[in-house]
Amino acid sequence: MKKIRITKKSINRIHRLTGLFVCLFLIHLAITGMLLNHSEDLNLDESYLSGRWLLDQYNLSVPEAEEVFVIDDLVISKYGPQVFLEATPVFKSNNPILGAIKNNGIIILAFQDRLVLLTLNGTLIEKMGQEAGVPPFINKIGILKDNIYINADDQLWKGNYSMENWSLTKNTDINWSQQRIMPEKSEKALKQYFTGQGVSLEQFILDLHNGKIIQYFGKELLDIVGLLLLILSVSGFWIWLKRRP
Amino acid sequence: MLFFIVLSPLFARGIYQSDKDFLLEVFLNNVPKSNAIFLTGDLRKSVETILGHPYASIRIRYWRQEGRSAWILEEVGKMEPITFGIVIKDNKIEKIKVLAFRERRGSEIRYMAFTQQFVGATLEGNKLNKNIDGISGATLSVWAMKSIAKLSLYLDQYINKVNEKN
Repeated sequence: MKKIRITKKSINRIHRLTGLFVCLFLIHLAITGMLLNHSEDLNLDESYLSGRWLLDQYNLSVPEAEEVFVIDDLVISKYGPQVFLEATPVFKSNNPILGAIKNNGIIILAFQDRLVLLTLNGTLIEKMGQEAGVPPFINKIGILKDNIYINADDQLWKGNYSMENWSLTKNTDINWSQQRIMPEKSEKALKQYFTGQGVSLEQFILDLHNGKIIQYFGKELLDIVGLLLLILSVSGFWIWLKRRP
Repeated sequence: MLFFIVLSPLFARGIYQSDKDFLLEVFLNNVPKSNAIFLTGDLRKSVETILGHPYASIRIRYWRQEGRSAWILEEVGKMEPITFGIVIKDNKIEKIKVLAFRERRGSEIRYMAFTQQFVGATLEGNKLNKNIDGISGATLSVWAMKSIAKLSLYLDQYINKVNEKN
């Protein structure tokens, strides 16, 4: 077996290579450390980053809307169980929105088992199901000349003003509510709801400094850097001892 | 066994009885036409005082027949709304039932051994006249049921007053 000999030359080499590798991290730690030290002076906590990659790292990504309906200028959308009117959360439902209409200053959302009535500013008026006279198994909702129609269980129903009484009908010229593409303005407002202002620059620099920005091995990477710093210190001390006259 | 103990609260979530079936049961298949009250002005304030927050909607539907009124009300336990069905007769709770439970914990409030405590309860000021024993691990659900019991009694008194005036 070959005997490993620790020579002055090999220690010098270890010291040089370790120093080269560690110096990059030391520069990084020094810069981020100094920035954090003057965080308040530099207003780092008042500046925000909102890049998509960065928001993903912080689990602040915007989910995809499951349903989007547009009534005049009002946008109704659903993200997970949360239903939004514009960017305001109004109520939760595990069922998909099948349609949305506006009639007599009220927004009416159709779900399979009920109609949900909202004011124009998003206040919940009532959830009306079978117990309130609404036919079950709703497929779609539409409007024609201020009359509300629903297609439920493959039958066409016309509702009265209060939506408590429904009668079977055969009208076919109904404007059925259909999904729309989310308007850009509403998309921005909803992004703001989900991500807030974004990630503060102070938080980002702090996570760069402590390695947390790299989710899976940031902490371990800093452990390796710490270990290399120890090797650098010990090898440096050893070289200094050997060079003493 | 451990698997069952851990997962049993998840299986307790769901709809135990539909609103329609509750009404059919209460009114013996002869459900009267519903009425609705709007929570506005002083009524809204009183409801807010009872619950400690505004009610989820501004219109509440009820069914009334031969001195009995039935209410289907919702209140959040911890995170999700619990749907209750309540029957009031002579200003007293005749029946209270959990119709739908969506929380992860606290579904024990659905058991008759617990709901039976509310039977005969009336409103004294803004409190129930009966002491309701809690359930450990279901504190928020118990609070929700107590709040809804008080609210239904209050609303029943309200509609009785309105009917007397008319």
